[in-house]
Amino acid sequence: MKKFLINAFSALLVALLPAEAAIARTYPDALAKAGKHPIVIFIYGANYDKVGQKAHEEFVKKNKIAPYIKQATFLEMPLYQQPNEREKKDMEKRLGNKRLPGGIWSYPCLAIVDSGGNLRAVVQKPEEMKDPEVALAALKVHLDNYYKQEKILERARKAKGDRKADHLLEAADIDIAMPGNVLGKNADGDTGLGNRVGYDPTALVEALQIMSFDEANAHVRKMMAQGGFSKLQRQMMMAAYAGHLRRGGEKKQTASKERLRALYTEMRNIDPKSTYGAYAEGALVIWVEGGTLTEEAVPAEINRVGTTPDDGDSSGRSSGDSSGSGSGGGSGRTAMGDTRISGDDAGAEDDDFADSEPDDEGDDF
Amino acid sequence: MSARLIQLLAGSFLFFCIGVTVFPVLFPTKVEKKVTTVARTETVIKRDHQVDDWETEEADEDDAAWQEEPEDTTPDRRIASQDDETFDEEDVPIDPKQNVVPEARVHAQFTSALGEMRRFAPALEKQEAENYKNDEFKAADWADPEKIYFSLTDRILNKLGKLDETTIMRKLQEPAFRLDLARITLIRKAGSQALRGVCTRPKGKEMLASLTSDLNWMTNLLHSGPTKKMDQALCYLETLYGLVGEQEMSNPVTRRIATTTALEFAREGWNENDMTARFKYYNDSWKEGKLNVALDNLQYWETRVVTGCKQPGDGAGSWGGPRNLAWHRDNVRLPMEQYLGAECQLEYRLRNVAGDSVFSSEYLAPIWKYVNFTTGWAYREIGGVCGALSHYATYSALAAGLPAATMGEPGHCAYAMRIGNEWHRGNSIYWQHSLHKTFWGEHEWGYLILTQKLYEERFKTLSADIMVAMADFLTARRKMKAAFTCYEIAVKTQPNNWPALKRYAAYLKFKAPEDKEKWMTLHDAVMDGMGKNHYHAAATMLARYVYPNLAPLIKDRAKLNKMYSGLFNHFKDWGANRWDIAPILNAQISTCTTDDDKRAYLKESLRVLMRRPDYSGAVLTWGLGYISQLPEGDGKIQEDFTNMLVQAMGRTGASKKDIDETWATLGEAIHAAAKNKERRTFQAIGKLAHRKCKKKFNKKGPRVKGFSGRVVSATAWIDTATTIGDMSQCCLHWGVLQRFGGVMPGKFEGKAGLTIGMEKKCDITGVVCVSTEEKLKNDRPFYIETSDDGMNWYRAAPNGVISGNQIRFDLKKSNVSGKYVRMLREGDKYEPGIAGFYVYGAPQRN
Repeated sequence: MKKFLINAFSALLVALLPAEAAIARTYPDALAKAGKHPIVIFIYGANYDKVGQKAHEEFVKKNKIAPYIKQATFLEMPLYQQPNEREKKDMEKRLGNKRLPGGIWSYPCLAIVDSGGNLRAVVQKPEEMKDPEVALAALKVHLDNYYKQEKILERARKAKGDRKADHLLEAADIDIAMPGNVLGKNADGDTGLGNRVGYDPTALVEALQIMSFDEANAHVRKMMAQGGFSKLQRQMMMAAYAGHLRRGGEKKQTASKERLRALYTEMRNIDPKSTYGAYAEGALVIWVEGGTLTEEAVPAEINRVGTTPDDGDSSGRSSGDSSGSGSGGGSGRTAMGDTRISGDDAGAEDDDFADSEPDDEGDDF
Repeated sequence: MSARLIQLLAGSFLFFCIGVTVFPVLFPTKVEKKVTTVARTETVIKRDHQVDDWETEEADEDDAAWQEEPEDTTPDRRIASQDDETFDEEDVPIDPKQNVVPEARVHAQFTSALGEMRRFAPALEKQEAENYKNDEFKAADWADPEKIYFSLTDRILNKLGKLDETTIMRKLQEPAFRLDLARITLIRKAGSQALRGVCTRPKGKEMLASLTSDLNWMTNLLHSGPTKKMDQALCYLETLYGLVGEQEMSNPVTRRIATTTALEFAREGWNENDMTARFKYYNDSWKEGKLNVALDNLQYWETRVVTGCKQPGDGAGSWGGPRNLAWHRDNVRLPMEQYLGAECQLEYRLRNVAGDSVFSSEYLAPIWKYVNFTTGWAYREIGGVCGALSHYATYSALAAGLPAATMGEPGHCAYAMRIGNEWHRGNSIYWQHSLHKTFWGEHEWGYLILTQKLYEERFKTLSADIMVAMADFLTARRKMKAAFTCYEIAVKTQPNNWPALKRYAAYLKFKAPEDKEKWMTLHDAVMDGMGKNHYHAAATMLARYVYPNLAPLIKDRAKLNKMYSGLFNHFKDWGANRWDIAPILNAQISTCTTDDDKRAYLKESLRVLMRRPDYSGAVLTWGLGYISQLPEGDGKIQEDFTNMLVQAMGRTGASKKDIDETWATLGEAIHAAAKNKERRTFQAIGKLAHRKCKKKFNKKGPRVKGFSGRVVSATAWIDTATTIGDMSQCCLHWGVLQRFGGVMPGKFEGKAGLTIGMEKKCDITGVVCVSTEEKLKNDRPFYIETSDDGMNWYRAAPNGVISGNQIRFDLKKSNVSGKYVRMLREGDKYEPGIAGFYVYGAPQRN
């Protein structure tokens, strides 16, 4: 009886979601209703996870999610561990003949799915999901990005050739997953879009292995100049290139610390908040400064900017293109905290082409 | 003058007599020392002549102790710590009625006892719900554990009266009696001195009083798996008791987490700080409702798998530290079923995007701070190989409070995960699993399943465990007859009880090593009990603990061979998982004392095992391996064995129905021949497979433009560096050397590649390798090395020329020779399939 009342109350609250939000009872129903709008699925462990049950209470039963859904379709999806017959039937009813998209790492979560069943974004981090306010703020960002990306994709659908590719690249730069294989389907040869889709970090590492430092530099800079790569991909290229110089190898000395400093700084400044921004910063500490990473803040000195006069440009702009996104995010506010020292950070952001300090270790540059 | 002289002489004599009398009184030690020293050893005396002051010093020390400490005539009351491997009998009078080995009993003679034990199990379940408590021994009493021990032994023996099995079983049904027995068991396992040590800790006495007044707690502490280093476990438990206090410790889940953590950390020898951190992680997470609710209902043994997970230290690189567990708990929250496969959250990367190998410290080095020194998080960001992937999935489940364990496979890391009551393999590619978390030190999969099945029958197993505890007590009190009875009832009650069987076998060896009937009864008990479902464990139990004792007692060799082959006749298939039969066959053949015995044994074993498709390949593999390890001698036994094995292979079926089994059997055998570098056997099996299973081979081989000379590799053995999991296709490796070609996996990395061993040393004019890949990678060169002995290798120039799917090595002008040839590649790992490998040239005359 108690369960019945709770369910009835819950159903009532869900029914009270704002009028523009569509409520779906099943996943196929949600996919059918969604149209151009996203589906927001609240997925939680219903019979094994107290955290999930608490989140369900907060997000759904207390109806805190309602103001954020707006035109999206909302679906509540309980997951059962070792389900009994009743629970199995409930799951079957909710999923119909569909499967939830892969790529979700943890529950409870708020999954944003399009009408094609593509997972576009997930709010799943514990620090987000433990607080509805934080989670819903993150959800809002994703939903805004969704509409922004869809708008560009719509333009791409209408465009052809290079313009279409440009629109697709612009859409892909938005911090939300692209639907299905839309990039792959439209990627063609050595275009920027083709570069982005076809990028293979392992292949680059292997290709660099047998190159001299000069050849490696030319190879990486040429790739970057071709354009189309995401910030993450450009950081990966820099990691491969710097790694090659750091290790040296047969008939090759390792590059000088100043050279490495320049490369890792450049790599970090592409996007300091990303994983590879942090990687670059860690590399500066241990491989340039010879320090160790501790739980203490990274010493500010490591942010001194090295320079790479003959290295080229990792901004991601195609040659001749001055309107690209550039080496964004070089604010000095990094994934490991603010490590700038005043006076140096201007160089860190903009001055990739300043004179380098003398390189007395005699590397190939 | 003469009178004066007489007076002087008399005076001197008197003085001498007084001196002789008084001296020993005044200087007793010195004199006694001398006497003692002289009396003790001749060596000492000799040394006395050699080194003047040596004897005195040594003797002083020795004798001072000997003389100044009066002999302690009171019996030593200390109770020594008792492990599961030995039997410690106390210094008590022997009751003649109990000092006999009871006759071996057949199964029917246990009917009444087993009926009683069947009723005992539900009684235990019912009584657990009632949770019997008795606080007879207060905190202060534990300062003198010997006093408690001796008062309890008297009480128990008085209650048991004549020590007949009916009385024993009736008494064991009384909770108060069982609690007394548990207290005794605890004192014996920890040792009384160690208990005194526990009592000196701040909450020691209080914890002991609380623990020993609670039958459920005591039962779970003593009977939820191994109890190695109980003294340390009690110290750890005291720490946790002090940490949370009596009230929180009375919560069943907190108590379970604390007890299992203490038991496992003591058993593994891990330190107290890590133990406390692990306990806090699970206890706090549980209190905060962050763990999977399945943890709430785990048994103690299951909880030990969780709280005792490996790598307890905190920080970068550790999986079991609280920081990493907390990260997994919060970031990989899944229903139980989805942890199996959670490794898919990580990218598989042998090198990171910077090109650093996963096996180097540089791989994750720059990222540690970003991920707050959290191992799972680091690998999720950067990717990893099998080890990281398997640990990631395993520790995600463990962090949620679900049983799981990583396990090794040849050159690979996989994991085991429990869903419901079933264990599943994750990221597994081979049948050889070596679990990293075990209870009995047995790492194979079969034992995991055995452990699961054993404890699933919780109260049946508990009743047997209590009976073993009773037997151990009776052993200590020298009640041999009753002890035998209790051990035998225990192993009959729960035939899957590996530790109980092991303990009984050890006792039998200790007390009645030559009682053939008893060993035969144990043999049959293992076959009929554990041997019904748990083949590997049953075979190992026999090979390790029964055969070495039973075999010398059976004089009829034929009968013994029948018993050995009967083992495999008894098994339906591989059981829970394939297992390595070689140790069992080695144990059996090791009981053969002559070469004729060995021949007879092999003949009988092949007769039985070659009829069993599951085992036939394995027995051939074993046989080939056995031959290769035999000392050279006159080579007769090797030849006989080889002939017997080849004949046995020849008898394998070639009909449509049998062909797949024959193919798999021969595949396994040819793989063993290649690994043993047995060229003749390799060729014999290859030809046999070609004759029997012709359809499995290609009709036409690859088109190859050769070099001068003939193909000298056709009669060689060939081996690949790849670890082969499924050996059923290995006869195609032989095909790789033949004109019609074959298939084998290639793996080129460093000095790992493709190796052949030819019949004779040859002058080599060229080599052609044909791949199954249409277009081979050509960014790195392939090259050839040759050797005369298979140990010392020399690189031949020039490197291979890659064209499409072929690599050609033109060695005409290189003056290359060797008996062994291998093809290698520079650069990173590359694994193209191989369809043909042909060495051209001519055999040398000498």
